[in-house]
Amino acid sequence: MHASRTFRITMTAVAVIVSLLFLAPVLWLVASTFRTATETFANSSPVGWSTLWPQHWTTVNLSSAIDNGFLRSLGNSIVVAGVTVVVGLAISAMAAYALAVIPFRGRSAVFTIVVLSFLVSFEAIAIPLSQSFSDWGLSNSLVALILPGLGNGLVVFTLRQFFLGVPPSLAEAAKLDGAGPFRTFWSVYLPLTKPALIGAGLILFLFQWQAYLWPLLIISHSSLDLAPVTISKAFGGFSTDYGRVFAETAILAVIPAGVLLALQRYFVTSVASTGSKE
Amino acid sequence: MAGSTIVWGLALRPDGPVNGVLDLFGLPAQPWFTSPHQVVLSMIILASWIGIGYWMMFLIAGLNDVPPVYYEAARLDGAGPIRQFFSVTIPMLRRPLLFVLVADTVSNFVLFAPVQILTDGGPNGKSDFLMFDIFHQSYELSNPYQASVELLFLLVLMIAIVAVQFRLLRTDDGEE
Repeated sequence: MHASRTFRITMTAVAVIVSLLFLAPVLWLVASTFRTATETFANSSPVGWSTLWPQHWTTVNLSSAIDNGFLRSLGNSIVVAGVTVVVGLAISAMAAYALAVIPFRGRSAVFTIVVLSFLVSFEAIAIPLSQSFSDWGLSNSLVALILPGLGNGLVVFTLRQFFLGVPPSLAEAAKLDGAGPFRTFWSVYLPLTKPALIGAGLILFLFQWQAYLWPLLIISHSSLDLAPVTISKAFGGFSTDYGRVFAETAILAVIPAGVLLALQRYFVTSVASTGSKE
Repeated sequence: MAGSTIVWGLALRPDGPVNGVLDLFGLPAQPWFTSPHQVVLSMIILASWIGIGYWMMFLIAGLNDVPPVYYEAARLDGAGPIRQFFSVTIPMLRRPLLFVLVADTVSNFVLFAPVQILTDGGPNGKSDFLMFDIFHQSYELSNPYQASVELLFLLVLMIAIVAVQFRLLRTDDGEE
């Protein structure tokens, strides 16, 4: 009993130290958002509490970000990610359902293609694909930004795994009650795999939220720039306003962090603990 | 990706807080991204910090799927926490671990944003990674044919990795 207690204390200490290591850059980012860039770098070395805690609080960086049109880029990012989550989830869930439940000719061939599509990174095909997109007259549009995020092989693959985990007896019961394939999908499979669907939505969201190469290739009007591209342009400019860069990066980071925190409790339960209570 | 890149790019500046921490332990300041000898190491630190959070999501999902009865059974058989980790957790996490291993490898093969934002392939071309070079050749040096050849190499490399991964996932599927 005593050994287990020491073990637990040691493990907790290790966990706290590791999470602090991961938290430190985030705290530094937040602190640097609310102070001038001069103060940030003056307090970098030697490190102390003043490195992670502003001495003179200011919102000048936030207003500089807003004055430079960052909210428009942020709006573009939110629209692109939002549409991708909703439409992409619908497409991927239906595809995964067909691949898991409905037997049809060539199903394993389709599944193989889906798996291949996510194992080869999107970046590897982005450059030739962007040339096709401009041939089709799609460049410089929100549609061009959204389209590559919709059919996500990883999401189809994950959802299929979860659909396969739903006990077939439930689908049979629905069938006996007269439900067609779509009704079974909607009323049996989707409610039972809610945590998986939320996880899948998160993958779709993060794909678009962190997209960088594709927007760089396909967008040349700065009014359509996504937030990461705007930040990197501000960072690479001739006279970089580092305070503004910190503020924009903090805003870019706080949104997925908020989404993750809000959805965290759904990750606790999963398909393994729902449905059939045998 | 771009956000974390910039935070780390600034944190690893010669006058940044990482060198401040080194100073705390009496270590000399390092040049990080500005040195041809350290730029790859700096990229690895950056990519790892970004990757750990993202790929951990998949492992947490896998951990939640391990039925608690296995741990109870192991405890009844007298297995301590370390033994439980190696005899229950690791085998039960085989599939997500495998997936993360390969997917993380493949995604870092096409590491692009940190190079484009922070180093432009430098110093001395030491961080001129494949994906950045393809972009650089086709858009900044107007060298589309060389870029195409490089892209072909990248795709072949990826398909080779994927073929191995596919094998592993396949045999895994068979076990179920």
